[in-house]
Amino acid sequence: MSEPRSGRHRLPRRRAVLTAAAVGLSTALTAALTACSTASVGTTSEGITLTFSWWGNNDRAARTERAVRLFEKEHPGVTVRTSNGEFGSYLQKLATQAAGRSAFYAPSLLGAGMSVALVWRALFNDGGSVPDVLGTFGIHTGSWVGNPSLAVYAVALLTVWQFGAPMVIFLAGLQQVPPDLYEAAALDGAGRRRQFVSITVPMLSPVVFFNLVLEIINSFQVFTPAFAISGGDGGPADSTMFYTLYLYERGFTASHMGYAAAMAWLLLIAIGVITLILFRTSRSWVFYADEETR
Amino acid sequence: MNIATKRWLPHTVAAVCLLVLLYPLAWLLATSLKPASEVVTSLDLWPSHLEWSNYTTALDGVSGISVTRLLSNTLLIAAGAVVGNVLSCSLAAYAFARLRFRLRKAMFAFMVATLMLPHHVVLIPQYIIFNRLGMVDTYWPLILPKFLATEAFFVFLIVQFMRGLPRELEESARLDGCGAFRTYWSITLPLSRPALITTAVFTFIWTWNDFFTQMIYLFAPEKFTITLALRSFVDQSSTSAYGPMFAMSVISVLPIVLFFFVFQRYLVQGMATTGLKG
Repeated sequence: MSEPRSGRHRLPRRRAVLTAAAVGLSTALTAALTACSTASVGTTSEGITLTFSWWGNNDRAARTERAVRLFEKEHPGVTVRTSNGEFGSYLQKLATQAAGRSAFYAPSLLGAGMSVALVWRALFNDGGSVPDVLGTFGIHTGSWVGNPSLAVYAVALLTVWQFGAPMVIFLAGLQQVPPDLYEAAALDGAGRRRQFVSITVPMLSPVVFFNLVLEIINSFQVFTPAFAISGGDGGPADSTMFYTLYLYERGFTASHMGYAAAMAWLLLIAIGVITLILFRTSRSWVFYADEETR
Repeated sequence: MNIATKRWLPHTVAAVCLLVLLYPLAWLLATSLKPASEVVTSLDLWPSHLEWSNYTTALDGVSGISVTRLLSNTLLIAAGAVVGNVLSCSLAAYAFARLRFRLRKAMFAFMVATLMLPHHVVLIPQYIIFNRLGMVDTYWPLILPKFLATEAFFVFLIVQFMRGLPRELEESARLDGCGAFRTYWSITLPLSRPALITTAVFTFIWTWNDFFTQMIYLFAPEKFTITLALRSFVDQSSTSAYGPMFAMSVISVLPIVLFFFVFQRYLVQGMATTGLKG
């Protein structure tokens, strides 16, 4: 709170002290309300006005209010305005959005590990939550893990559970759609549904294609869940004997390295052929915005 | 549909989806704290009392190897992989992004093409090579490849990032007498921090979650990672061991959860941008 030294910026002494105090207070308040969004200092001929707006709970607001009144009493000439403003609710929305995004994304980080695969086996086993909950709706499946016609779906659901990773890519794709397209469509009288079908879907189709190819390639290589859910043997009745599981079994349990290497090359060819077919079909349904202008 | 429902319906649907989505994780945590008698009999997530002994049992580890040992083994591999990937992939990326050399374009295309190559195609030749070198049942097969810029995904990610950096800084460094390596080390590397963080975080999480490679290369129990130790639970399906088994599972996912919370901003951003540029 030192006094300004040079003449050019010199304010009347009292005001200088007040300004310094005000800046100090605003810094302190900003620090105290970690979520404080804006703080501004205005100096007029009547005195100094501090404006704060923040978002947060009312409990914090009451405490702040008390501190502010005390400060005003000690420093006449300073008016403090506080508000739980519009900008605050916008920030709050952003925060919940980020938290929600992270929560949806989290399974895709954990899902590839052994721990979740073990959880999955327990959840879909006899007495696990999934058969139990379905049972209360009158659908009696018994253990999915022990049932040759259901086991593969338990593994598939584990992959579905990890949709967070492609979701984030879709999100980025959505954010790249130019907003003026929607504005133009709205001016032409298109409703939300029409905008979705005629703008969002075509603009997003490259991302759909990218995710489709990526997920297919990844799915061919699934190993850990099948290993954990079947107990390592691809059972029951080979229903979870995935390609990679058999490759492992041939190469490392039965020590037929050459056979396993040949299997790996066949896998590459299979993936290549499927990707090629997808690329061929993509010409009829994937829309690239920049091609249109060429 | 009135305005209030229109406003709340999407939120409610999203919240219900989220609950279903997070249920397995809540179940994992709850089961790790349940006494053995409650694991199957009750659908209730909340245990009647917290059975901490599950954790003390889990800490004893598997077949005489303590969990601290398992965790430090895993950490050693993960740290080696992170350092290796960050150094080697950024070095390779710098060459592709900034240096001029013969066959640069062809080599870059070749490198990108290996992105499509299933992991299993290189697995067996790699195993045979490491076997000849006498490195099977050591950590070398898990760490050494990372120092050779074998992960095309990260090389590509960092190349894309470096291409977006302004060239002026590097040019002035060169005028001041820096060679290619010094320019890389003092200018480009620090500027590429966001891409390097993404690389480090994903390398860590993928290495930590990895099971296949670890299972193939490691045999001696004292070299086991936490994932390999969890594997020994795969064969048994008796529910009496559920408590300690899931206590160990919780311990094994804890580092990932921690990493996730610290770096979530970079993760979601990094994944989003790499996805579209890929």
